[in-house]
Amino acid sequence: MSADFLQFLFSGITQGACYALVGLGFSIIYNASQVINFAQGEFVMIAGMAAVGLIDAGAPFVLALAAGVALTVVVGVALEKFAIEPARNASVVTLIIITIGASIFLRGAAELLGGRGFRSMPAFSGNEPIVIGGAALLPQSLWVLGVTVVIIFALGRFFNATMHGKAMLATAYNPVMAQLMGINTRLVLSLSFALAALLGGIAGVLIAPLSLTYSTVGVMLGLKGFCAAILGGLGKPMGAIAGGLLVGVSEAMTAGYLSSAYKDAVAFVIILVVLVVLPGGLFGGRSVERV
Amino acid sequence: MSSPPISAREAAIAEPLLEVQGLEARYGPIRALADVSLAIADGGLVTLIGGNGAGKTTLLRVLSGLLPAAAGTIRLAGQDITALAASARVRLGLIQVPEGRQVLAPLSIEDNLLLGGYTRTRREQAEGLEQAYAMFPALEQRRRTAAGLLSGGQQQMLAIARALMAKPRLLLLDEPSMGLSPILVDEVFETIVRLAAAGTTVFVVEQNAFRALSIAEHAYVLEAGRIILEGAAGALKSDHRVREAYLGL
Repeated sequence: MSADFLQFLFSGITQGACYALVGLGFSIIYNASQVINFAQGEFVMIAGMAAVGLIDAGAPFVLALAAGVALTVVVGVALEKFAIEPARNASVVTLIIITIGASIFLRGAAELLGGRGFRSMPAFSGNEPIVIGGAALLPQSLWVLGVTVVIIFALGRFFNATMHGKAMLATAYNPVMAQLMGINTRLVLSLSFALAALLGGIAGVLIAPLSLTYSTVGVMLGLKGFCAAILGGLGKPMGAIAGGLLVGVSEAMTAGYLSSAYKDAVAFVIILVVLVVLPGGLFGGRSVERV
Repeated sequence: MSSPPISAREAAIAEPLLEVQGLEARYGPIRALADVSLAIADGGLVTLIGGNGAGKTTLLRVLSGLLPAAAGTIRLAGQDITALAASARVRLGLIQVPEGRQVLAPLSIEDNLLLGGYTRTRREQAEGLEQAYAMFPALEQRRRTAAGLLSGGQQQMLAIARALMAKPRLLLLDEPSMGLSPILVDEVFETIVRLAAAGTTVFVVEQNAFRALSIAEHAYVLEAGRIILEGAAGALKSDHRVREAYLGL
């Protein structure tokens, strides 16, 4: 394996892990409500902007990160409470358009509060690269990957081994039956926005030291995360993770071997091809059900 | 003179577990239920029969809180529940086994059961699971199997077992015989009789009028959204209107 290839792989997987976290957020909210939340990328932006702002204002580093993520969760719950909930009887398309409106509002608010400039966040544990097979791996990449792996296992446990997680799955599979089992499906919707915001927020503070942060950083990240979710089959958590890594690695390879000008197009080309060949996504598969 | 507390207690005992008065339901401009009133005594086994589109499923949707009542009141054990959310009604013990069973196909049998007991404590869930498996041993053998892979009859058993996990005071069953072979229908109805004998109040909504009237004590006939007949199930079975319209005799 050449050093170049390894280098592209490292950066692809790092970027892909962030897409996976964003894609998971899309899938979780979609499962609870069939809504595609186009403000998902803004969750990433809010956490990064808030954390950088607090660090610049002199707040302790870890506290600033935690506050950035916490603020994102508050924004996520507020988005559900004040924008989605009042319109819950509207069609899904209307709700999706509301999330697009919310994303524009959040970008505007971030510009007002944090300015239009690009801001950088210091890496969690230095910038001394680790050299593996001739390729440089930044410690921040290890943070991204490590935290993502922990989150994936924690989510798996939440959905498979806790009643709250199973209640969210039940609501996804059959919202009417979920209500008949005593599950408060409105609360599940609120919880799904909180969870999606949490994932977006964590992705935001993880990626900020690698990619600068600015008010519109969430736009592309949101779209790539959306591609990741669609690629793996919308609503399939494992699919979102695989989709995220696939998009990230393909991008890095294209940028490295072809031209970085085509980098952003890759995700959208992949998604076109996959949707034509496998409309249900890579993990869409056939569902097993006897009636 | 001392007012007799005994008669007050008798009145409380005589009060039905479920009392529906003047219930109306609408789908937009279409009126699906009109002035429906019924009463189900505590411990009773009551049926409501009616043809396709009579409004049977709509009635159960309104009772469970999935569809708001346009008018009228629903009382459970004396408490007005007309405005309560569906999940709150489940907590009060009003449990429905919906039409078409609605098992959560990708989840395991055991997860389906546990979710049935979602409103119950961990301990009650464990007890309920034990009882469910004692009642339906076939489910225990396949407890890790995805519920969607069960046969129709087994899915109906799972749907009933799942409802029992919630410890129902009143069990609503929507067309439990639908799509099942005659032998399986026998099994399902035997189960319903056993549940009622064990003290659960049961309200069965059925298109299969003969079977439903054979097991119930009291019966209602719903037609075009209105209750047109009511009486002892045995008497209705020999009523000429019921025989002509629903029994094909």
